[in-house]
Amino acid sequence: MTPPVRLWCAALTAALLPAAVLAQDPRLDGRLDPKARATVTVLIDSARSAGLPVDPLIHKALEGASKHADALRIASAVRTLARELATSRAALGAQSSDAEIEAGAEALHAGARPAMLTQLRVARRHESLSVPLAVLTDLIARGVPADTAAGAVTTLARGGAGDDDFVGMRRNVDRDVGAGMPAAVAASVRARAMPATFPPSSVGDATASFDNKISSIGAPRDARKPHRP
Amino acid sequence: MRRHVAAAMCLLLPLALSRRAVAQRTALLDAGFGSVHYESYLPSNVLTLGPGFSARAPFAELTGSGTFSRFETGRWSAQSTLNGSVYTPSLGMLRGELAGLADLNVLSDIARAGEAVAFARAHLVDQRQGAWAGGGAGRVWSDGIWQTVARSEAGAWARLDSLRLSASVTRTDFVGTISPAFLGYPPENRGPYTDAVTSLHMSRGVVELDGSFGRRFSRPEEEASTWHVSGTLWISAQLALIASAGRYAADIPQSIPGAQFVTVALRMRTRPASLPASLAVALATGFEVRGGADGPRLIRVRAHGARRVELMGDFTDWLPVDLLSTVDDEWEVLLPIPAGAHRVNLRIDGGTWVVPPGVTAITDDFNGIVGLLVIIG
Repeated sequence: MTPPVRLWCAALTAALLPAAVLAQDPRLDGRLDPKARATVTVLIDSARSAGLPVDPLIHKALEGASKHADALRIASAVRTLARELATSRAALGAQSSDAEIEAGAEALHAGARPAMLTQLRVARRHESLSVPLAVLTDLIARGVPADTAAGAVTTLARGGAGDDDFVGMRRNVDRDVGAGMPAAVAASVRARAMPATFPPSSVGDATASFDNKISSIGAPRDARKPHRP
Repeated sequence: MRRHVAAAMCLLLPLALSRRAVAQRTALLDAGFGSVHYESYLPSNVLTLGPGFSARAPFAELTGSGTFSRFETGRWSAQSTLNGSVYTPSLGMLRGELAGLADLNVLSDIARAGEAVAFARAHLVDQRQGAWAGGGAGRVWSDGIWQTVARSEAGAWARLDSLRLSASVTRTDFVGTISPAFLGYPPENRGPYTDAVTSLHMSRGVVELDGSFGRRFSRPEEEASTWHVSGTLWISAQLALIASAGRYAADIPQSIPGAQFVTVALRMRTRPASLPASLAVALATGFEVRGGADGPRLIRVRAHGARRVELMGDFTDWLPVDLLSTVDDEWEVLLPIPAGAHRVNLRIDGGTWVVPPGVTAITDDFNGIVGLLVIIG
């Protein structure tokens, strides 16, 4: 089925479904064109029926709209996220919170495998996985291989690390990478440097401070010309 | 003796200037050996020592490098180059640059040459690609005789994950009297010429690869191809092994012959060079989120010279929110942001949506990038 035909089918399905079934989120009003709106509404409704969190799907659609993406791309992004949410919930367990499922979907999107999420759940059964999963996503996005990143985060979770410990590790990795250490090495070293077991977590003020990151400007130029004896 | 002092100055000038720079700095020193084969000369083994530095601020950039080479014949050469740029505030995707280039070359007691050229460039810049065009003029000094050169250039670049590609075309014209020859480049060979170069840089883990290929278009007998490949293996944060090989074209205005070379070097640096970023990102130099779980969180952005700063993310339902200017180029807004992972973009002066500085960049499914912000508590 070609994309336009698929879109028309989705729109037709949306038109034929009873109004009560359709999730008319007011946040979508006036933000999406009718084609995108119809497809996204059907996807959101399906996700809701399946018991998946729908806020991430709405946010994804709104993000696409704000970035002037076309209807097909928005629908594709929302559809992909819906699949990842379902995979995330299957990997983390049906009792997982919406925030955990969403964070798991982000991690999958970044390159983590479902088994890694399951392993993390086993390592941290009684506390939220939202922050560890977000840190896992962050590490992978920074260039740490998924296996290494998952290993580092799972090691921390097994030791009973608190949310602030995970964020602390991410900040330390960031610092190491800034000093020139490869991301994979930094993640491994920082995970190993953490104590085997952690005292009860004392989560203080949430502070995400990334000061003084001065970026270079101009068209990219070689920082150094080749050796020219 | 005086020549050795001059050579030492060539080497130390970049390092001395680096201490005076006030922005983010990187200094390095390469020490190596290799083989060089100048056109019309016999190949020679060579020991090299090359300091370099870069200093960057949101609106300015200064880079310098030097190379001292000791040939097996006992002769030596010293090169020193200094590049400086000042950037205008962005106007959408457009930004201007005023730049200056100065270099000095000394070859034992045989020849000395140098140049000073000023450029003006216009950049069209997005997050992952950009283009520039410009021109400049300056004076070239070759063994005591000055002449004027004019250069015009255009180029484009693109970034794809860890791969950076660029291509440029530069035309050099001679103005006025042409200086006498030395090192085999008589005046009659000094017609206008055009250099087209394409290059790539790739960085993955501890390995960096660079390559370039170029072609000089000139009088038929002067046309030449140039190339360069180098690999860098970072042993630690401050130490790397570099292997390079290539062929560079003659610097006709300065009468410096082209050469083929192979070198291996050890690089020591004080801190890593900044990753290349877009002009749009450059305006924002700080980003922080403060506040506890029970109330709204304060988002603060430092954006030097900005006239408007906007933020949007999942916590604003992806609607742009204006930040308020406070003091010292700082912009703030209070927003309710629940704990968890959030996606966020920043916009300065109505330009492109970018990732706030220091926040991890991920692809956004819409041909762009978005920041991944982790909030706890």
